[in-house]
Amino acid sequence: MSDVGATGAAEALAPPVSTPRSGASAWWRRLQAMPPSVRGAALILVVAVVVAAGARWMAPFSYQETDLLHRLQVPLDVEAVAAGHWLGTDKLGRDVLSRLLVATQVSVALALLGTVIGAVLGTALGILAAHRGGWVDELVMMMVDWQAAMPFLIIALAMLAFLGNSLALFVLLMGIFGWETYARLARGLLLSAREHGYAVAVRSLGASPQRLYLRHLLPNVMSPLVVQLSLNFPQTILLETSLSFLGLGIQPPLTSLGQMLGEGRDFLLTAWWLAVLPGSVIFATTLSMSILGDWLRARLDPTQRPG
Amino acid sequence: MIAEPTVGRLASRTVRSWTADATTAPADAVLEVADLVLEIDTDRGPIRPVCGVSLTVPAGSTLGLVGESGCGKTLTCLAAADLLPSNVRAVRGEIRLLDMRRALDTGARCADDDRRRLAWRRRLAMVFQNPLAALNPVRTVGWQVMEAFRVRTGASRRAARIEALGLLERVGIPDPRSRMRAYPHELSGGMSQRVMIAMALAGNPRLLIADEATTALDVTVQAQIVDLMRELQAELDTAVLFVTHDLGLVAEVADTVAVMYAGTVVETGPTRVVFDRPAHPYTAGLLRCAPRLDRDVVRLDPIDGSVPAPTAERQGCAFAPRCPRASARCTTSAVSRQARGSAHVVACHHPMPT
Repeated sequence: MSDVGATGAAEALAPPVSTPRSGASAWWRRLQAMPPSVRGAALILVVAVVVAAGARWMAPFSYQETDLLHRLQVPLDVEAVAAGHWLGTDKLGRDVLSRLLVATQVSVALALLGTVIGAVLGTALGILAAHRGGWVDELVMMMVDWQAAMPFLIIALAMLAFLGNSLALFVLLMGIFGWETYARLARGLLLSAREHGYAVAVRSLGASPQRLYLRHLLPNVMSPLVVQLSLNFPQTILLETSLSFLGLGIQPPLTSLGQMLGEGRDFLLTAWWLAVLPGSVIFATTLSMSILGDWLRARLDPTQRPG
Repeated sequence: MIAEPTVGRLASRTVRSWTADATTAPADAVLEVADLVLEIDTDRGPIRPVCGVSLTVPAGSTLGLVGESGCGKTLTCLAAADLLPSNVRAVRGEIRLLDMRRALDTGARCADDDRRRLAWRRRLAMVFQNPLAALNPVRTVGWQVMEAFRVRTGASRRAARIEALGLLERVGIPDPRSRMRAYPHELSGGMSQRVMIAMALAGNPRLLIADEATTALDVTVQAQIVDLMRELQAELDTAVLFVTHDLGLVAEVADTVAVMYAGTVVETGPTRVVFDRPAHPYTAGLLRCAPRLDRDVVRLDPIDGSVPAPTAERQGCAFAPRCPRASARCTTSAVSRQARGSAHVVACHHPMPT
């Protein structure tokens, strides 16, 4: 049974005397077991999270500080480096590196918040639909179909246009985006998991429905939901960037990756870095998240877990 | 329909669903099922896989419920455990478990009943046929035994952990400390069934329902599990409803036996009596076609014909078309139960001669 000791849950249950190896070395072993692509993706995401957390301290300049004497400086150019603008400046002479750091912070935070809200909301409604059945189920599924049939960009544009653009509304929109996939997924998975022998066994113990769904069934259907989360996260980033690119998302003076991309569009031929740099960050984070999510799916299945 | 003498008194009373009173419960019975009728709607109209089952599990003893596949054994158990699938409808019947009583005729479910339903389920425990399917694949074995104990008793994690270790040791799992951390797919079938039994015993239920608990295991493991269950039963004084289609197993395990055929109990009595002097032609036929080591039998003697379709209403005895002793009366008039010696009851117009 020594192979069981490698899992986190097992570590927690293990008596201190017979713990096969310390936590740190187990982590190291797990890190080494990762394929190179996953290690790279994890590294990029760690950098993105660190940047998102500490952008304001890391930025060499304020992201709003203009310097009209040093406009549109080329990245790594002698003149730009001498002025401290390592990644150049934009049309108002603002430091691109500083703006990029803050934009990453805003975009990652919004996408994270939105994804979590969507996942929790969708899964909760999915559980409700599966457990209650009847008209509750039909209502939830009708809402799912309705949202799936409407292009979300249209809903978002309409809501932002009618209700005005506030950060709270924008976060709410990010959260509503994609809830229906979790709801549909969770409902279907739970309906089939509920018929399994272990579900009947837990019911025969006299466990309450909350306990059955949250402690027994949900962990069993977690991996498809996590995969969905990893697919949804990049989509949420892309939604945020699309709306900001269209000028309906994050409003200046605050910035985001999409907003930077939108501004850079006008200078594609003369100042490529204004669009390419935020575009690359979007590409790198979304791709990393997808790779990591796929790997996570394999890891979450205990029968697929390698020694 | 058919009602056992002991429960006829109950069935005639008007009772509300889920009543709990200790005054009328006889001290000697843990589970009483009276005139249970279950119906399933199909495309070709309703069928009745269980029609008029009555049985009693006395305290501290084992009732063996035997019958061939599809005779309603499992549905009877699920009804007793309040775990009927949603497509099965209870037409009538009454089930009593210790001090709780449940009339099944209403079929209506009100929210107020939820607490009682959980209380009902916590008084009994089930051991299922396929132990590997009945364990949660993503949780460790220790977690699941702890969870069973915590659901039943509301104990703290620490207390549950100590209890789980004790239970796993008690059901004969070697090195329970390290097995606590194992996942179900890392255990053998026999080991999983031991874990299931440990889960079932958590919180000391007064009734254990073992639904074909040893069928999925090979013969040597089966013997071990049966020995374990007998040992634990003697130790804990739990009543057991042992469901199987293996006559040999029943002879070994059960104190009393109930033989089911096509949704009804055709014969009940002390195991020795029923096996030595079967009164119902079906029981006699079953015993004739079981291979025996102590007699020289060249060919087994099968029962001719096949089980009738479980249509909603039937007249007379369900076994009549296959019965060598059947008369015209058997196909027209319903059979009633008749006592034959102490505690030996048979539902037949022409029982076997003594």
